[in-house]
Amino acid sequence: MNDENATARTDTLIKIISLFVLVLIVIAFTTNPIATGVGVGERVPLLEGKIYNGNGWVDYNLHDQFDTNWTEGDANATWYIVEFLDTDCSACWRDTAKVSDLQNAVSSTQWNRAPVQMLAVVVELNIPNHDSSRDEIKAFRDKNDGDGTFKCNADRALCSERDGNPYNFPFFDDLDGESTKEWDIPGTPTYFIIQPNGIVAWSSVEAGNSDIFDAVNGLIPEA
Amino acid sequence: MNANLILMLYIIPLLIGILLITPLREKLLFIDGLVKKYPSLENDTRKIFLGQTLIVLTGFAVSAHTLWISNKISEGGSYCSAQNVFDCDSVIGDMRYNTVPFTEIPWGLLGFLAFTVLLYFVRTLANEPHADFVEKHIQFGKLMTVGGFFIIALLVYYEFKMGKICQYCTTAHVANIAAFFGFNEIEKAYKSDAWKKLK
Repeated sequence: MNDENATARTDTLIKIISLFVLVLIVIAFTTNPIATGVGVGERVPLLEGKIYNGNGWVDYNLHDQFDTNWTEGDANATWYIVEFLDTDCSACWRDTAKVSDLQNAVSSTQWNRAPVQMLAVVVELNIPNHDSSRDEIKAFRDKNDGDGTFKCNADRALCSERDGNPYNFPFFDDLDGESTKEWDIPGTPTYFIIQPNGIVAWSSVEAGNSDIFDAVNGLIPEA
Repeated sequence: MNANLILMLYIIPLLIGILLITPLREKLLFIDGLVKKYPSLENDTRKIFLGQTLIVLTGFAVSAHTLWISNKISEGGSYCSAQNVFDCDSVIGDMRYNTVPFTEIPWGLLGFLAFTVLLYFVRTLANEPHADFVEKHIQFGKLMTVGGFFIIALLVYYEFKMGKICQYCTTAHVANIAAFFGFNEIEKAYKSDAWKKLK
């Protein structure tokens, strides 16, 4: 009796597993899912919260900006450059001139490539004197110190003393580190160039010493 | 083909399955024809097995389809996006909610796995109704479908937050609920004399 039961179970099991595998094979052959992550070719993780756009703090969802129907070569859709920074990080402080140049380049009337939207994601690294705030983010972005108490670069300088121009792109508040964790950011500054459909085209983590300007010129199609 | 039209391919067998696990099964117009073709269906419990198989197979297929849609959306495609409340792309494509919490497992894959196991329980019961595993498989089936209720509650909560309904997911949810009642009917039959007449 037990042997017969085992046969009934095994036969059914084999049939159902075969059906399961067959369906999985069909799914595997007819789809090509893109993983979520920050490696080149992956779809960026969520980035949802508040941004400071120069006027105030407003809701923002990076994924809402993407054009999922974008096709390679289409120069009308917007590309994204995302920088993860800490207003108290020395390397980010040194990069401010470069970021300002990048901003000037992509917002210039001479820009002859697909539109680019820059975005800074501000994190607070767990290092002494890396204590940021929304007011400090505003001071860093606008190069405007308000009451003069907002110190950047590990509290060594007034935020207005950074290089470059005031920025015109939004700053995302990730002081709680939630998005930084999702994006698996190893340190700051970290840069990404993201295609209009939300797929990572370039990442400073993977690019080694290659320059973001070269990447911008090499990846973003001419209009 | 229109996504809602394709959905009918799931809804029709699901409805037939639901009717077959209810007392209405005796009043179905097509049942006599089926019995003539498949004499084993003269036994009432066999009709319940047929209904339960249809329900679980529908859940299996619609979950697999949901997994397929999830993959398509991740490629950047769209399948059933709409301006109205029935918009499975928005629900399945929402990265905040489209995977099992703390894992990267899409809900569709979980449903697909769960319905595969349920299908195994139903078919082993139907194939060998007098085996020693019968009671266990009925209980496991009931437990699994009850576990599904909590997942359904969570997913409906997500849909409520999004203000959108994924019609494919809802079909899988209905299949899970119906499967629970199906296992209940099978359990009732098991505890009755009718079970002894099963060959």
